[in-house]
Amino acid sequence: MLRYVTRRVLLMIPTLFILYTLLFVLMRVVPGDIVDLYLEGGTVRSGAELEAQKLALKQELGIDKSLPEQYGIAVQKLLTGDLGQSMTTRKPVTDEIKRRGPITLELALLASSIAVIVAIPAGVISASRQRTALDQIVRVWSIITLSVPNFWVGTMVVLLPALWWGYGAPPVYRSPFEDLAGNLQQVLPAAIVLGLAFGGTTTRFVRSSLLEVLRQDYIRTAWSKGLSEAKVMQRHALKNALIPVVTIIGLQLGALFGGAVVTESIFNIPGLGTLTLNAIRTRNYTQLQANMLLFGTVVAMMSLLVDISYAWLDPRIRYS
Amino acid sequence: MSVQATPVGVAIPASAPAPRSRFSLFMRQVRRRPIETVGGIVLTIVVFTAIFAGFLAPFGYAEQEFTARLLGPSGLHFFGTDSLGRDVFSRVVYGARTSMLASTSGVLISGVLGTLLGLSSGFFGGKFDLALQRVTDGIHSVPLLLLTMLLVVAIGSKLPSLLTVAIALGIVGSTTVNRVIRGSTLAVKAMPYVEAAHSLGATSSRIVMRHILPNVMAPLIVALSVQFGAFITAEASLSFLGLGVQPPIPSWGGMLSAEGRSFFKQAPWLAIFPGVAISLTVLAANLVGDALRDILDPRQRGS
Repeated sequence: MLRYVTRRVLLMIPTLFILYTLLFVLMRVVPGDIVDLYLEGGTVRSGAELEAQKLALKQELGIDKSLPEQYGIAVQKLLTGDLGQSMTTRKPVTDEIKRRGPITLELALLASSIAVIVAIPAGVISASRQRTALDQIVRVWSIITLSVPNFWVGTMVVLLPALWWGYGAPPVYRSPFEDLAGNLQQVLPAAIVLGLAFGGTTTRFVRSSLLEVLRQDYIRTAWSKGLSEAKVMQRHALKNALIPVVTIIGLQLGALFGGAVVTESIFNIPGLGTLTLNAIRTRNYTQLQANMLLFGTVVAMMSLLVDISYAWLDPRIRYS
Repeated sequence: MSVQATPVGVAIPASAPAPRSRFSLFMRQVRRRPIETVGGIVLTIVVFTAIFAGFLAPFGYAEQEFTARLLGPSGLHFFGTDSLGRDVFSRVVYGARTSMLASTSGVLISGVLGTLLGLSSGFFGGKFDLALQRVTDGIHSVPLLLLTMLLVVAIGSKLPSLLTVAIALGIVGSTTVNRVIRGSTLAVKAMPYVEAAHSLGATSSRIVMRHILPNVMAPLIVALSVQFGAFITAEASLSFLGLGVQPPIPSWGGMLSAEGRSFFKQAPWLAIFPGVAISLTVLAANLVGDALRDILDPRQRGS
C-alpha cells in the first residue's frame, strides 16, 4: 500500500509539471499583458515615454526576458517552493491563496455535503422503487438540477428574495469565526445552488450503482432469507453500491472548483474562484499559474484519496 | 468481410422476432421514453428557432427604441424590452442561433480533433500515446471551464468572438473525446477480426477506417451528445462572465450578465426569459443524450 501511494504521488509530479508548462506558454502567448492593461489609457500618452514606462514595469515584473529565459527562472524558483509574486499586489501569490483558500474550502465542503445529503436518500428511493412515479420524479428532478445552469439559479436566488421581501445578503464577506450568521447568509445560498447541481449528478450515480447491486445473486439470497427491506438495503446493498459513488464525489471536485468561479462571482464571495477570474482578466500570470497548480494538486490528491478509500471500502481491492 | 456497427440510434433487441423498419424501431423508442421524446421535440424547436430566427423575431436583435426602455411583457414585446429598448423576445430568438452555433461547432471540432488524436493514440501507441495521455491528464486536473476561459483569452480578439468560443470549447472538449476514443480503440484493436484483417494483409489505414472507426462510433456519439449539453452551458457561462460572445450579438448567458444585472430588480423579465431558454435547451439536450446513451451503450442499459 505504501509503495502504491508513493508511486502515485511521484507520478503526480510530471503531470503537474506538464500542466504548469502548458499554462506558462499559453498565458504568455495571450495578446496584451498586464503592463499594456495598466498603462494604456493612463496619463502618459507620448510614444517614447510610454514605451520606457512599459519596459521599466516589465523589468520589474520579470516579463521583459524571452520566453525560455522566463521559464527557466520560474522553474528554478518553483523547485525551491517559490511560486513568485502576484503581478497586481506584488506580494507572494501564496498570501492571497492563504487568505481566500479557506473561503472556497468552506463553500466546497458545504456544497458537497448538500450534494451527498440530497443524493443518497434520493438515489436509494429511486432505485428501490424502480419504474414507479416516485422514481420518475427523482429522475426528472436530478436531470433538471444538473441541466439548469448554476449562474441562472444563483441569479434567481439573489433576485427573487430581493423582489418579494426586499431581502439582500450582507454585501461584504464575513469570516465564520467572527460572524457565523452573517457568513452563512452569504455562503449557504451559494453552497445550496452548487450543491443541488452536483446532487443531481450524484443521485444518478447512486441510483444506477444501486440498481446494479440489487441485481446480484447475494441480494436475492438476502431477500430469500426473509430479511426486511431496510436490512437488505443497509447491510447488503448500500455498502457495495456506495463504492463507485465515492469516486464520482471525489472526481466532481474539479468541476466544483469551476462552478465556484461562477457562483462566487454571483454571490460576491471573495474566494479562489473570483481570484482566478480576476487573474485571467488582468493577465496576472503568476497568480493564475499558482491557482491552477493548486487546483491541479488538490484534484490529483483527491483522486488518490478516492483510490485509497476504495481499498478500504472494498476489501477485495488490493493495491501493490 | 467487414464488420458493421449497429445503425446509429437503433437498438435491436436480442429477441427481436423479425427485422422491422427503422421507423417502427424509432417509434418504439419514442413510446418507451415519453420524457426523452419531449426533450427531442424541444431541442428540434430550438434548432428551428436558431435557423429561422430572422423570420421568427419581430425585431432586430440590436434594434433600439429609446422611447420603449424597460417595458414589461406585452402583446407587442412578448418578453418585454431591455434597458436599451431592445425587444427581449427577439434577442432570445437570436440567442438560440448563437447558442446552437457555438455548441454545434464546438462539438464538431471536439469530435474531429478528439477522434483523430484518440484513434492514432490508441492504434499506434508508443511514445506519442504516452506523451498525449500525460498532457491529457494534466489538462484534466484543472477545472475545464477555467481552461476554456484561458483559451478564449489566448485566442484573443483576432477572430469573431463566437468562433473563438467554439474553438476553445472544441479544443478543451477534444481531450475528453480523445480519452473515450483511445479506450474504445484499444478494446476493438484486440478483437480477433482485427487480427484477421491484419493477417489478410490489410493496411493500417484500411483497418482503422473500415474496422475500428465504425466500432467506436457509438461511444463517440454518446460522448458528443453529453458534450453538446455541456457546451451550451459553457458558452452561456462564458458569456455570463463577459468572456464569451461579445455584445451586441445576443447570447442567453450574456443577457444575464453585467449589462442587464443592475436592472433585474426593476425589470425581472430580463433575468427570467433568457434563463428559461438556456435551462430548457440544456435539459432537452441532456434528455436526448441520455436516450442515446441508453440505446447505444449496452453496458449502461437499464440504469
